[in-house]
Amino acid sequence: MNHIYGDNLHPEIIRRASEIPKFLSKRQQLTLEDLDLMWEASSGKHESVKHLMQQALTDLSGSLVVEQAEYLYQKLRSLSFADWDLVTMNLFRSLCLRCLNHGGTGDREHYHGFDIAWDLVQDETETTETAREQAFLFVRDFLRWDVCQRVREPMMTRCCQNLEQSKSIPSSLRILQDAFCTYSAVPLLIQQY
Amino acid sequence: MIGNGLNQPKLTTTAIEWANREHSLLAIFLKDLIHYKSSARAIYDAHVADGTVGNVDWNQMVFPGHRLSHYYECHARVNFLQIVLSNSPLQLQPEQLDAIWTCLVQNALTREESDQCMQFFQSMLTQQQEHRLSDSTVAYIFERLLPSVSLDKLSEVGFHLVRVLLATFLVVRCFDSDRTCLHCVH
Repeated sequence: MNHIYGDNLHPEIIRRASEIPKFLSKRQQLTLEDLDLMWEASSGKHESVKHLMQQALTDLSGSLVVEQAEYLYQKLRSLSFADWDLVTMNLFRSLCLRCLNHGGTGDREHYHGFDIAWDLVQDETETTETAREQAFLFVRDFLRWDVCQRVREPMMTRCCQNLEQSKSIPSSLRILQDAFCTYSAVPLLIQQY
Repeated sequence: MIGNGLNQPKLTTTAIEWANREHSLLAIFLKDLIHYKSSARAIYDAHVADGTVGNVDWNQMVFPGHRLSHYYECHARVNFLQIVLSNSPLQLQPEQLDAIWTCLVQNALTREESDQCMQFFQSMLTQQQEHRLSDSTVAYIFERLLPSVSLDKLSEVGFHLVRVLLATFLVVRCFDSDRTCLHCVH
């Protein structure tokens, strides 16, 4: 892992080595230090290298145990929203799905993906339009996933609170509208994602 | 909690009614509309006063504290209102109609803004029966609100609304609640 993602980091190696961390993960040999190494390889680098690494982490996310997914999620959370783009959103989405799939109907912390998506769509948040639009799509799906149904009422309450304070109105109305529509729709099974 | 448990289907209607019951959805929606329009209008009037109103594309204007252009800020609100009214038994009261009309038609910054509102009323007049505007609402719009707009300022969308309103109003005035012609009865 050090040889691939350490000082010798090269785009072509990143492309060709994605099966190695997956293999380690399947053998329960992937450590948090390995994840640190991969994460460091994505930060402060040229945009193309950052994207390749975030893509590699997205591919890996399906093989992670929930603690590792949450560990990466916390690292992702530390990134400034201004830097979030489509690749970052893909990583965010797959980490959330991994946590939700393994968190089942469990604790509220497993719904934390929603909090980030909520922040991303607020008017005062500086981010890219792509990230904002992807966050809307994530919230729409989130509200329809079977394990997230009980979050709909608190979320509609948040939207109404925004409405009362005249904050982020178009975003709040869009989410509220999506939430209303989920009540007439069949819930989506999280396991199918 | 929305619904009464397993026996009650949790439909969009139920969710909208819950939001209106728990959070006074329509009331806070209108409060925000009035707030947004009064702050936008104040900026517009300041430009009128210093003679620069024509230098600004008001549809594209992004007002302080907002992210989207004025056109889309209005569009999001009108679209939401239509979704709420089309999917629930909620009906607008006369004072709520007044507020919407004053904000979006009488105090419109652009023709496109008032067109959005007129288009909304037109859609609400041609909805399926259970979500259509009530007869008293139609009469209120026709008799009280419409006369506030001078005909020479009406756009094509506005004229279309007048035609639909006129046709609906005649039905309201000429037929009783069972849709029996009042003139035939007499």
